[in-house]
Amino acid sequence: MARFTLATIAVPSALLDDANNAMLVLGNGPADAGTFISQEWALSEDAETGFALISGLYAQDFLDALQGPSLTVRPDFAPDVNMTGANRAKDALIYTGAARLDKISIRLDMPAHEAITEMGLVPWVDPNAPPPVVIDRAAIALAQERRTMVVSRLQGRLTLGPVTVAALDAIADDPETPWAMRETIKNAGEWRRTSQAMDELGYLLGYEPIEMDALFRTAATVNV
Amino acid sequence: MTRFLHDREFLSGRATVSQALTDTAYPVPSDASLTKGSFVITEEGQLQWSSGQEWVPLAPPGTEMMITPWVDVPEGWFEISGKLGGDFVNRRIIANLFDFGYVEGTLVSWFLPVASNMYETSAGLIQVASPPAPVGRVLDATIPRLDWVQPVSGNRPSWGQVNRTVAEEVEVIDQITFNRLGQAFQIAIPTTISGTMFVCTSVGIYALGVTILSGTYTYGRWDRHPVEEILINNKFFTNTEIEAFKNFLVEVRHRIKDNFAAMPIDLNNAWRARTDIVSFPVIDTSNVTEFGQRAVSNTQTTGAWEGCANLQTFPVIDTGSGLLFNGTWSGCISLTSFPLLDFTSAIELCWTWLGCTGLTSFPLIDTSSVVRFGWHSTSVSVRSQGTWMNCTGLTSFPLIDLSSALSLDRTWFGCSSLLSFPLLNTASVTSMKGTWAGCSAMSQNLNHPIIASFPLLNTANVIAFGNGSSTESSFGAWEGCAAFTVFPLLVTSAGTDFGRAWKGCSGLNSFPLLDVSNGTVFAGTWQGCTGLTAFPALDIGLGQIFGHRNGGNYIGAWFGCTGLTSFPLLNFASATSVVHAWSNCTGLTAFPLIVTAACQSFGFAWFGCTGLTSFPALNFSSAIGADAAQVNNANGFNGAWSGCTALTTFPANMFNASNTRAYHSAFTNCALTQTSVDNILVSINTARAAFTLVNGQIDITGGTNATPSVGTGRPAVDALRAAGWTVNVVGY
Repeated sequence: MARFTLATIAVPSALLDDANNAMLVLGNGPADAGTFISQEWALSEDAETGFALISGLYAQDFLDALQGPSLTVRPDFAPDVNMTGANRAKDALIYTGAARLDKISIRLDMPAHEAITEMGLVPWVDPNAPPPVVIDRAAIALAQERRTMVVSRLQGRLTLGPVTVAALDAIADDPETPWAMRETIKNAGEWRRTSQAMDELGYLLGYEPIEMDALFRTAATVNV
Repeated sequence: MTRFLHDREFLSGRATVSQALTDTAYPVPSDASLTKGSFVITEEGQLQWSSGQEWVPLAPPGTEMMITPWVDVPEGWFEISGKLGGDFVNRRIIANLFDFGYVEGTLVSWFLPVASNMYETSAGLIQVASPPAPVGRVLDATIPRLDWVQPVSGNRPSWGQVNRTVAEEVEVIDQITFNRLGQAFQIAIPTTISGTMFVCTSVGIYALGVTILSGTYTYGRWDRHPVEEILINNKFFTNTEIEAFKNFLVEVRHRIKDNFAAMPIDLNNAWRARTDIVSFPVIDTSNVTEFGQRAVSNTQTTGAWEGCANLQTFPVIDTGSGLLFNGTWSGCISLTSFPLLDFTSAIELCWTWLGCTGLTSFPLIDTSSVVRFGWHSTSVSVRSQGTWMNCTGLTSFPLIDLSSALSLDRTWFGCSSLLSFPLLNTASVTSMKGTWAGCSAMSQNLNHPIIASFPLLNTANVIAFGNGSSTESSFGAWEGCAAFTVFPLLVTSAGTDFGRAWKGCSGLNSFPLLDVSNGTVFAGTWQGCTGLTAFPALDIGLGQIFGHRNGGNYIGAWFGCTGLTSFPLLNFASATSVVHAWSNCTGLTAFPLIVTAACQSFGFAWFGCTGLTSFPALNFSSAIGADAAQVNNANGFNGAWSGCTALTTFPANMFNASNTRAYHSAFTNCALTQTSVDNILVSINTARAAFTLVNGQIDITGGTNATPSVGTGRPAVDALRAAGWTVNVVGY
């Protein structure tokens, strides 16, 4: 005997809170309070109101609880769950017929798309859905490149040239310069673009970030 | 540009300090015999090796070598993940014989759904026992582990198993199925990933280029096929690497390499809203007929790649069997070009490239079979969308074949950068609702500033140039084309609906004598055409609807045509509604004696006509607004002359035959003389008595309106008030 039963549940927008409370009572974690969020379905003859819908495998005790007496036990992870709302959702369940704006429709052991058709629901676009996130790929690419920008101390110094290196060494010899920076300038075997010391060094030399990038790119091409 | 390394010596450290890297340009000037073992990369990206005798394209299998970071991995070679030290910290190592170990270091997450890795709940306490079962957590097979979890019980994907024969032995293969109704996994991504994602499905392996931002990443919401394994790499693989890796997955892990030809015939929603995808591979779609679902009344579904907002390139896939492409690439805003795909079988291209704002040009695709390029919804909550709607980057458009097209609803809506438009074959088109609405840059041929660039299209069979009878979501064919100064003399004789057709064409300084004689709807047709100073004597004899008022949506045929100084004696014999028809026509100083015998609704018809000083004796005998159901903003005379600040003279007996009690704000802020005020009140009172009208309202206040006379106007006021009317007049 199968341990799980396929259940498809459609909740009209007016009953979302109650339904989420019921799922919280019957679920196994606090995230179940967010079971019914996206409203992507509507009645074919009334496209003004959205429905949230889920379909999945549920254990028998979940289904027994839905069809049994009133829910009374608050789960440990949700001591503040609205039991009244949860039971309202339970009482609003209908197992046959078209979906209604004042009822929660459920179908058991029926392929989801058959259940949806029987409920009379059609796909719907939530007008409040957020727009897609557009990635700043240039920034990501630059960040990735910077992670790979590692040059030897010698490559870096040869690229900077004698004048700038002299200034750099002067910074290293200046007792006013923080000790860590002095040690970095003198003893770092390799220069990493993403290290904080490099940012500080660039600042001391008057280099903009874009100039530091160019420095590393050029230094990487130096054969030593 | 690099140096040969003996097989694996470099990685083992035995050859870390050898010769310096060479920066030899290609073609190499030196004799190949002098540089044995050296490599160069040609301008075409091919790697050539010195055999000691000549430059040859192939190196011995198993060769490993270093390249500098600005050199792309050549085709046929694989980058070996790993870090070098010393002077070689910024060098990359490549090899020409694939080994899984080479890429293991770039693997960020490895989704491997086998029973020992899966748990029923996201807490990971109850291991799955037997399929089918919901899966709340799949342990990631990489370190550090990025587990795939679903904390919401109702959204957990299902675990199943299939038998697969491998080398004549039946092997049980685990699969995860997403129901496309909300089931998905979430992965907590610590740092942004950019690389190649291998997805092993029941019908084949495909490799996506992805960028996954740090944070919660959701996978599987619309996955079309059961998934057997997913590998996310923080590195973009070359085509050679992808092919080799797929072969590895087939040979070692017994995946299906390519059986996409057996895919279901529809790919609706297949990669919908996958904002992580930046590139898509070529897969066999030769049998797919639906790349976007058919549009049916009041429903909204989406296409295969709809909302892939970061998809930058799209390959030449086989779309030869595709019939429906509704919404297929909608919202792919990062696409800057589009390949010349095969659309020869396509019949619907509704909102196919909607909002592809990055496209600056479009290829000359074969659309000879396409019937619908746009779709007009009857529901305000369902989008009405056209093929290239809001492609704001397009500046020109190719001469596509529209010979089968019936509907062009919103097809180029909002293409605000289109400068001109080609002379397409639109002979069979019947509907042009909002077709070019918002094409605000499309004006004149840049080389010939006087010649309108909008071509003399064949519109002989077009019935609907707009949908002016209803809601805010309706648009006219050229609505908002503000740069038009003239308009061609199109054949419009079949048109019945001209609602909002030229609304907002504020640059038009004249209007041609079009044949609109079959038009019945003119709501908002010329609204906001502020550049018009005169209006031609069009035949609008069948026109019924010249305006409407729904909520905050005020639509009138000449609403806001502030440049009009006169109005011709047009035929309004069939008009039933002139709501807002001449609202804010501030330049009108007189109004003609038009026939309005059939007109029922005059709400706000002359609202704000500040230039009118008198008004003709129009026929108001059909006005409605007697019962409660009819008393609304649009019916009767609500607001009809409100704000006509210069209107002093209004004739007597105008409302004697008007069976309405809707005069709310009808004459507020006018300049009516006492005689005119009396004329109005006496006439309304006459109608009240004739039709037993009770509880109406009339407002003649504000502005410089006179008070009603004691002998004539005030008795009428008394009689009206006695019948329950609210009568607001000056001084009484």
